[in-house]
Amino acid sequence: MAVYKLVFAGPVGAGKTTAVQALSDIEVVSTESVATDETRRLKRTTTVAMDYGVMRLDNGDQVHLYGTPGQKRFDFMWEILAENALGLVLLLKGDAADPVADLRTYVNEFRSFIDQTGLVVGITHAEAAGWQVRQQVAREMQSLGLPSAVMEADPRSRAHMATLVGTLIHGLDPVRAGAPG
Amino acid sequence: MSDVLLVGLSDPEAGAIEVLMGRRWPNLKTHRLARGPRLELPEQDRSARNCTSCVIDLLSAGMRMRTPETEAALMQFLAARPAILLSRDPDSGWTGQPLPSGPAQQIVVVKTPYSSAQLLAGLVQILDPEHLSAAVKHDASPRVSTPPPHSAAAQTTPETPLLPAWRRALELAERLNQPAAVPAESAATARSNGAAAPALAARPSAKPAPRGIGLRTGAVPVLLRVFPELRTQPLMILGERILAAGDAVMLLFSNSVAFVACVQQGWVATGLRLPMLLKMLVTSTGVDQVTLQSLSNAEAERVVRERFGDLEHRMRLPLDTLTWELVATWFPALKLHPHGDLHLRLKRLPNFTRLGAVGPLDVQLAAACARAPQSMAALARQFPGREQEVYRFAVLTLLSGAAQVTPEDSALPAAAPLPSDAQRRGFFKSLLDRLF
Repeated sequence: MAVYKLVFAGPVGAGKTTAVQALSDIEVVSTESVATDETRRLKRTTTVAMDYGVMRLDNGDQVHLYGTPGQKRFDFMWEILAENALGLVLLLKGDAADPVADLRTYVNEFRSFIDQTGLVVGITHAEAAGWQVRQQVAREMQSLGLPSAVMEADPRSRAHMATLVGTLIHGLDPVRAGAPG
Repeated sequence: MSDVLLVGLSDPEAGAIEVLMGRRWPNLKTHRLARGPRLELPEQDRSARNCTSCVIDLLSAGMRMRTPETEAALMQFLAARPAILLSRDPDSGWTGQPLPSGPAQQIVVVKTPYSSAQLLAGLVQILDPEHLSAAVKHDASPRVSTPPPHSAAAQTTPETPLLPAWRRALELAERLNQPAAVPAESAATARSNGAAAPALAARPSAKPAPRGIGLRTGAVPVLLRVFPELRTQPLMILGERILAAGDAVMLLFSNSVAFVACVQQGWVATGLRLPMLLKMLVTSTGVDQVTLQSLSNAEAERVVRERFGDLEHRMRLPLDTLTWELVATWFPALKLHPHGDLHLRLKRLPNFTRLGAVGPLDVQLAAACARAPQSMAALARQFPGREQEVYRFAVLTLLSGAAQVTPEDSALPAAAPLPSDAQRRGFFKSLLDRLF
């Protein structure tokens, strides 16, 4: 059995916990109460703000889902999580004051992680955002040298989260990942 | 091992520091004096006084600025113990003149927000006994210092025959970070100016995008050369008329405004639902009743404001999403026969989560074309039996403006399966089966 990791990050209120819950086979838990080896390694004495879920696949493999706030002071956790990581699902609040600046901040903070893995961006709260937010974020991703893998997404929707993760997986290995269907 | 006193930190921040310290000094214990309702140094209990070093958040300790009073209170609180001072304000004065510290008392100021590497470098200075003894031996060394962004001390790792995964990941991350090491202020200035950090600009995988032909710069004639059967489609004819009309256009159906579209900016404003638009625009009889009026961008804005008033925001949609949905209605009854090849590169992914007419193969093709230009013919060969879906994807992405046509020599040959990827491929397959 192989264990892979998928990391959800984004500003407060972007929907990280909800997104992890939408995909997880277990109730999302904080590192305070998780009792797996994986998270015990991350947590010694106290809660470090992080949500945790698991997807169990038919072939026996598991995908561990982590929702993290992404503050700079927690960046050592990214280094830990980078092992066997599939990539980063970055959720940006579309109705925030400046979603493009938020993108820039997160990409700068986690560039090393992103370059080792992959990135897909979901614009949440899109109904309250302007029609142009997705296109602005896409342009900024291009200017940062990243494939502009961005779409609107409702973190409550499993289908939306599945599409984001599917895009990330295909972005890692677009053709060899296997033809679906 | 000595104890470290954490003063005035939030729970998550204190927790993060404890984990960081625990990785390097597994036997180290901490004691917390929580942030109080008022900005002041908390009272020390017995356990706090027994700690041999401190990490203090200066702001929550009421010491944002350095004054003779705050300096004296701090030194009294520390009682000759080494400390890290977390300072938010670059003009606080804490990094200027040395503090009146004891002979072996290291005081390190770390500016927030800090990275874990910066904090670790500071912790090494106050906690590493070898570092401390070296500091005593070389008394001329500065007693108040700020850790470099990536100090050698921070990169020192214990000699162990088999390092755990997280340690190897940390070392790799630090090695990767090294060329990007720039003075913190320079990086911050670059960010505040909206520029990418130097490391981003120098990223080897950041391949310059080849110049492409987009929807407004000639992609439609190229598409029609490859798929001449599209020429007679009513919506295609209408699309060409809209593109020829200029930056923005008002579309009237039986003399009523159906929508206002600004092709240049990529939006459409309409009060009609998609089924009604489909009825109007995908039949010859419907399209015959359509008249177009060219508008400037400013006129388009004015018309939308007048027509929709306060609802203007809700009535405006991304043009690419609407176009995809409209064009996708052709395909169940349309078989495409390409006369030549197209080389595609996506400017942005289609807004898949908002589109009804998409499948997993669309996502897969989009991921491929977003990463590098792809030959449509090569992609069709890659998915035997699904060629029509590949052609459909090419048409939809070009007409919705998500893709550009690129020069032939920029496209990558389709990848062949690699035997060594078998395990990961099996995982990808299982995950995708689960997701879709």
